[in-house]
Amino acid sequence: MWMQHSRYKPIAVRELQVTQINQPLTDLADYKQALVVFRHGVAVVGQAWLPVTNGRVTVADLRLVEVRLAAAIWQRTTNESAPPKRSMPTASVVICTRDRPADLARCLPGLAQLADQGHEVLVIDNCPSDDQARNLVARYPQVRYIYEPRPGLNVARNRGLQTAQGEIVAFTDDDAIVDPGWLDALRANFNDPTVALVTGITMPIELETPAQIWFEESNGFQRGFERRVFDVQSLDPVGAGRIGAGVNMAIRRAALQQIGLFDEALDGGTPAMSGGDQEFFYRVIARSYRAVYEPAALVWHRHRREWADLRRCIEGYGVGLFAWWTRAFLVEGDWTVLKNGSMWFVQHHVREAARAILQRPGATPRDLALAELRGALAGPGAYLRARIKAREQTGKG
Amino acid sequence: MHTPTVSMIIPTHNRSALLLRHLGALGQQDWPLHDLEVIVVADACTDSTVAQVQAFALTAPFQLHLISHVVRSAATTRQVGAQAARGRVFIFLDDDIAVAPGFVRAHMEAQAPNRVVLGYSRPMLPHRPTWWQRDAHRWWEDMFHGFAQPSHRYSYRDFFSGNASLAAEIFWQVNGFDLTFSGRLEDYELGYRLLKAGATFSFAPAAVGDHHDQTNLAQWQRRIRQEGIADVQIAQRHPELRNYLFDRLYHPALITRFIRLMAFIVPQHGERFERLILIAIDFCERFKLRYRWQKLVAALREYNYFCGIASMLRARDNYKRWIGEAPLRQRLAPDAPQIDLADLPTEPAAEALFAAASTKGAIIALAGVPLLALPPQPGAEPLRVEHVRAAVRAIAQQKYFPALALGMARRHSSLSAQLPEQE
Repeated sequence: MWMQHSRYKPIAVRELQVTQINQPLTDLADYKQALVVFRHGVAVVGQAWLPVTNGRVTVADLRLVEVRLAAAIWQRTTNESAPPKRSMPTASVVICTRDRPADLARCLPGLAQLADQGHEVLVIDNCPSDDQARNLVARYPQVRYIYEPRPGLNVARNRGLQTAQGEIVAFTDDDAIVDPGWLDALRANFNDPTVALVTGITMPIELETPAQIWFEESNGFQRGFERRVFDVQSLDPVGAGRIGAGVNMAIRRAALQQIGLFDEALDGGTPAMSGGDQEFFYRVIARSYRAVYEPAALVWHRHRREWADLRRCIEGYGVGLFAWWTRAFLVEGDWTVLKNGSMWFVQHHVREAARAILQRPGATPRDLALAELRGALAGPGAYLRARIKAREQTGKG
Repeated sequence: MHTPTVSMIIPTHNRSALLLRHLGALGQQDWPLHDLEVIVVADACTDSTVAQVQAFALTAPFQLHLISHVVRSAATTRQVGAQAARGRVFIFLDDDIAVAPGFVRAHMEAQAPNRVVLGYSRPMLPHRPTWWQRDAHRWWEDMFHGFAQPSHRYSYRDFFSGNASLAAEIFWQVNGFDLTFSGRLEDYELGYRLLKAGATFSFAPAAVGDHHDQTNLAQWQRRIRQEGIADVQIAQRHPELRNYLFDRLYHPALITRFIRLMAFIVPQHGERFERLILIAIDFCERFKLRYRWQKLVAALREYNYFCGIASMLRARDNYKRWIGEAPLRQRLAPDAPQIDLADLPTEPAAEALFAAASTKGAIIALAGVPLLALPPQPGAEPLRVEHVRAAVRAIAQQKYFPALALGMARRHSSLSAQLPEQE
């Protein structure tokens, strides 16, 4: 099986400014391969999987990538210049965490820097089993700690949206580190009043285990290196997953009146397992707002290390996708879901599972493909169960 | 009585509650109120507008004049208001716009000789908006966002008399509104004459008011029909705009041709046809069939626009002859100048160059390499170097650079194929 292949050795992750392309990357003695993330100013303009020989990536290899970066660099330099900082909207940053103190400790310094620049930073501690997160946040007086007793990632997100004071609210996860230019890159895109949502690019912090490498190679968070604008004319709302993911997004609060909050029957901590971000994106597009994918807004994400966790996560993606499509059909009354959902089920899930079983070249590992298929089948039922559970919870609260 | 500097002209029709609320809010203006007069022109009002405005005028903190008449024409109503106005500057404001306290000051600060200031009528979504209302909301926001870009080239179709100010002098210099435009687009037509007379347009985002537009799809269709009528009127009055107006009507798809044919030959079934399409549109919205919905709305628009044209030109042959009279598509004049961005001439020569480019079109070049042709755009403001730069940037991004990048990549891959294999 895929994970047992001995050729999957750890891969180094390095970032490189395009201007430094004439120097080799060194200090890579423990690695055979490197994922190089190319940057042009704050923007991420490309990536390449390059061989490591004698602990270094050679200039010749780097130069071979150069032409592939040209389009992204050009797009950035020919776009109209960014609006002045003073005309950008005020921003709050929200991080939802649940019993992951080690990750939270790594993500807090970058957020504290944003807080020092005058932005509001909120850590929502979601149904914690101890007070480790509270103690960690206490070390940074500029960061606000908020305790949310009801479990569920979307419950925590909603708490953040309702508590935050900024005109826009930027979200990232506790297992991610934000780039210094992240928030300003997101904010600049809200200059257009029709934009209600901006998502950014997500790159791996490390690629040390087969699970992490597979996730990155299968383009888990990959949405490309060019800025894109989505609206209902260019994107069927049912395909809202293409816009980005909840690990790196910002929302205009004034638009929430039309769009609504996150659905608390979806995403982590519920039977639906994921999909809460994509379902929100669906409503952004369906309500005729615009969404922007901005590759200058970068967060580094630590992918799941263990294969079993990855499998659960992939199964969760299957459940979440069909759970939120079920919601779109039942709550929003969107009949196109029936067509698009069944097409995607056959063309993606069934096909991938079949290819995995037949062990076709490039197929998804069998256990992952089957887990995703299983998840997809369970999705609609999971959403209904999650609705009932969420209603009981709010009833109690 | 002191002669005020600013005259605000508000035409209204049967919206007393909304109008009174907005008049009340005008008392909050941070512009000196003794220097402001408000002229409400009530056209064919059958509700309590007249009585209520008269009552309000007794206690109003600014001079308020009421004119009431029955003409059912937006152009005449605004013109009558302007005739009664004594201010140096006119602000035309619609009755469904609730303005911010800095509104008058923002208009006045942006005023300059020969300048038309366009305010920001921020569209407000109605409660439980329909798809069409959401799309209309975005259309308005996009338009204002476009105005705010320094490279925006204003055209006469950017002049909205719902929220705009201009000096009385230039308004009367072009004789104000054309009173033959009874339905719609009287502002576009005025905008055209203003631009022609040398006025410049400018956008003042601080001159902001919340525009509570309640228009729905069916009402919009009636407006589209009036727009068809008005476009023909504009083309008749300004033949040089005819190509520009009707250029896009050429080479239609079969279904579009059928819809246009219907507008001309069976206008008596129009109502039924329209009702049918509106039902189908509602059905699509109910079941979220976005693609069909878009097609149907476009078809309905086309139909009503052509009903307007048909009511002006009567027979289809008239339309064909009429549109065939002038060559379509804007083309460069044979003696169009070349503008080289890398070698722009200095001031007096540059002015002449851009003036020629505005009327004849221009070939835009960079260091001797021609990049693109900019055909003349009738009804647009004179060409400036910012417009040229924006056009070059757009074409470079869409066309030249992808080709260049592809070429580079090809060359690169053929080069690297010749390199010895790496270990």
